[in-house]
Amino acid sequence: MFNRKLYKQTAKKQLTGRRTVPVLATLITTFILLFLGTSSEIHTSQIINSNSAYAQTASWIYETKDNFEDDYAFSVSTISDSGVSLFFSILAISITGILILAQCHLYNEYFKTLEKISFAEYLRGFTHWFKGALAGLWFTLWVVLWSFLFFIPGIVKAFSYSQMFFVLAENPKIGVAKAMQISKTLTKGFKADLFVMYISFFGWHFLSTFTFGILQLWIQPYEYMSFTNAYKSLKMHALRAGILTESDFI
Amino acid sequence: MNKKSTKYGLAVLLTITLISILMGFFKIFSTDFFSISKNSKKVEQPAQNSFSYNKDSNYYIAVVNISGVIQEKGSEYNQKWLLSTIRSLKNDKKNAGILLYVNSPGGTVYHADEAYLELLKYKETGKKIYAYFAEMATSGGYYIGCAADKIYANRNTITGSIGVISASSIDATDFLEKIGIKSITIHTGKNKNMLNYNEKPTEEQIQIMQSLSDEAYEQFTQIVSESRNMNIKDVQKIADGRIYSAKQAKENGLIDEIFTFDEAKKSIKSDFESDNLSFKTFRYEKSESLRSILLEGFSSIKNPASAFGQTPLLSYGKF
Repeated sequence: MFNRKLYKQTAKKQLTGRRTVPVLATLITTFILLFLGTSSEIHTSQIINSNSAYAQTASWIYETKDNFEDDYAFSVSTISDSGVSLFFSILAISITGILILAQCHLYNEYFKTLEKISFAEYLRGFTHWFKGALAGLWFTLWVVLWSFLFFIPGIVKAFSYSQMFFVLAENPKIGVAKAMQISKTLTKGFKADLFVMYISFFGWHFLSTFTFGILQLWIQPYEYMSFTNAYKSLKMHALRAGILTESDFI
Repeated sequence: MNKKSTKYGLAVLLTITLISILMGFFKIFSTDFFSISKNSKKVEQPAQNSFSYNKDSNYYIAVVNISGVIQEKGSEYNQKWLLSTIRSLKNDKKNAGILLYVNSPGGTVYHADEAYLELLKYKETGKKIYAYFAEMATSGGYYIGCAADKIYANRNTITGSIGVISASSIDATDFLEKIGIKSITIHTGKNKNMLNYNEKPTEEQIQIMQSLSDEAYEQFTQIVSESRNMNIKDVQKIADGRIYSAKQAKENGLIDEIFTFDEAKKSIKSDFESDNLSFKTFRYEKSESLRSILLEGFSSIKNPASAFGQTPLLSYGKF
């Protein structure tokens, strides 16, 4: 049922002659993420550069005096990341969520018609910014929780929740938790297919390194559009099989 | 209605762009602020130049952990953390010495030497340095250990590997040609692009790297010679890059004693003739977040050279 090649071929056709807006959207997203990434990286280096921070955090918890026959135990020195760091992380994840939702909205519109889509349509994707931010946080929270078990469950769950932004873009009135639930239902039995589809773009990403990332402006829309097609197909399958009904999306 | 929502969307986009830019700039300026205040603090703080030990007082030995690959920053090792820890211990009046707990396969020449020199500065105060080799203390790990007055090793330690790797490169020109990719680096200076994956290395370029390697090797053996009080020629005989067991290392004079960690601590206590001496552990621990993992993962595919496994120049590692 899951036809990766078809989704990708269709995506190419859907984007032919109307790539300008997706390229602009990718450019804007990259620009914002670049600043968010910079702030995260610099914050880390700030912690590392700060002598005082280390003086406090290079902590010791094991002290031997008379009982130095005890087993050697390493101390666990934790970099006491301040509340500022947490605040910035939350803000960064929220903004990333808003950007993803706006892109999903744009490609959802691209799916609906083969007519030219204006840049205004991309902007309209930002009107549900609160849902996007919440979805970003909710998604990250659950993926992180699953990652505590091991890296693999985190990846599996990331694919399980991957459709929630498409669900929200198409049905902005439904709640974030419900969108996640729908995503889990939609991806049941198809997570491996989604994973294979995801890694099928690796070759393109590798090639883009030779173009200093400029090729990403074409790859990202192609990837988003392909995944939008996959979402639509998964949704149709779920509706036809009776796993979900139209009322679930309201 | 559409026009209204477009305007609203535009406002949201502009807001998040502004927030992102502000976040970026805030971090840059706050870093500058912290580094300025940090430096001014350094000036105010008088350096402790001499250390007088009183066995009746409560002193401690800092067990400084050197784990993982010696590099700028890794999951277990962080150069800045190590240097700042040594500096703060140097100024700590309650600190009587350092016990380096080494479990490292080595690393880059630059970082190993920087840590070694910082430890020598620490010793200038009159405090002592000991080293304990755990599972592995090879190459750069041994290099740093040379700063110690005494080296203890676990009986199952692997040590030695005194040698230098100046560079390794994969010549991917044939592969790229096969898959139809032409990668060209425009350069002036015939050796400017040497060891890049898209150019075959010439004899001259191999010689250039060999000379760098030889120079670093001389530095390494000189340090071993001075630290272990051995003749340089004797050091060079055993420093052919091979690894040694603890027993072999002791026979060759590379370590002093084969001890368990507790025995090493007992020995240090007896050196200080004090039962009040305590041990405090200092260990770097990286704070991981999902974002940092993802960002690191993504950054590893940004650089095409990384795909061809090119290693940094000059390393004491990979025994």
